[in-house]
Amino acid sequence: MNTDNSLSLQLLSSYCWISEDSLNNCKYPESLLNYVDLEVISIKQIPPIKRRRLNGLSKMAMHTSLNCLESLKSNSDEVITVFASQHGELNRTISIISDIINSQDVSPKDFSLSVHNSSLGLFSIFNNNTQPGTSIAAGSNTFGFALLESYNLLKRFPNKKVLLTCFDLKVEPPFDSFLNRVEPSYSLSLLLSIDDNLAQHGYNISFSFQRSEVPLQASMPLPLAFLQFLHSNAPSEQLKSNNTYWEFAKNAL
Amino acid sequence: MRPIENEIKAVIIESLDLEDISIDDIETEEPLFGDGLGLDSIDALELGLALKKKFDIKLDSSSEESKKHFYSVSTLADFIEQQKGTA
Repeated sequence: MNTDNSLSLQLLSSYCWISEDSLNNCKYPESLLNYVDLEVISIKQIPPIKRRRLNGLSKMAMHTSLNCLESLKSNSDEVITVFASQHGELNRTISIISDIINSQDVSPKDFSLSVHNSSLGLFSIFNNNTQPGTSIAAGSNTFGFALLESYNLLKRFPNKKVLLTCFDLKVEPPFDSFLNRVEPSYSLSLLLSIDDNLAQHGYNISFSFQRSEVPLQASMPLPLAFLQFLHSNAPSEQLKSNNTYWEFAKNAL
Repeated sequence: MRPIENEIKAVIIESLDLEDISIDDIETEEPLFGDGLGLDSIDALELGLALKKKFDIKLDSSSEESKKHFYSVSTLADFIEQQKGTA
């Protein structure tokens, strides 16, 4: 792979949560789970009257986003947001369609929050965040292209930070049969920058990607594979999605 | 206190995910929307659906009358009893 094509940005902080209940059959190594929050989510920062709008998916995204920002004392109203989710509100949509098939009335709340950018919208409302926000889905490459989008945004707004949150709920039946591996419910948030003055600690991350000629098999979703690489001793690693090689390299700042 | 008032409060708490609120926290005569409990328009639709399912009543979401019925737990109880012919 031609490393001259690689793009670089700084990772200021990261926070990952995985649902312990959904981890069965995933067989993830301790080297990953040691760096993951497995506790039940409470989100005390959001008042109950607002918090009740969060479902499983948006609750995870909010939880890791707020904790990622908190660890660096970054203001949640100043970051540019990229929220990335391969399946989005799929489980909510399944429930809505089931209701329609069974001639039941559809829940207005489920309907209003069933769009892909629900979690991003709730984050911006709850944090009075008026910065640009992007909601991305790109199949098994969702995390990679979200990182690329974050890079683009940082090039355009070089003095800003980008909060990248990549999250997915475990896919419920009947659509789980389309997946070739068991995936847990998880959310990973990264705080990114390209401003050298902002980076006190963290990592310099370089990445590039190349489409594969043949279908690929990966043992875990790309964001979790990235997290494992981040906490490993390896300076670089080639990760893969279902159809693309993603090359990552890191340097501690 | 009519038994139906507590049933309505239970429906409000369950259908609107008010996990931190108990039946005793909801005032029977206080407004549900705006100043009182602080519910919004999506809540109104969600609550209407839940009450329809629970009490098997007919609701016209566009009428001014419905707005009056949804003022408080007490007015909702009057409305449901009237529909069920038990008032």
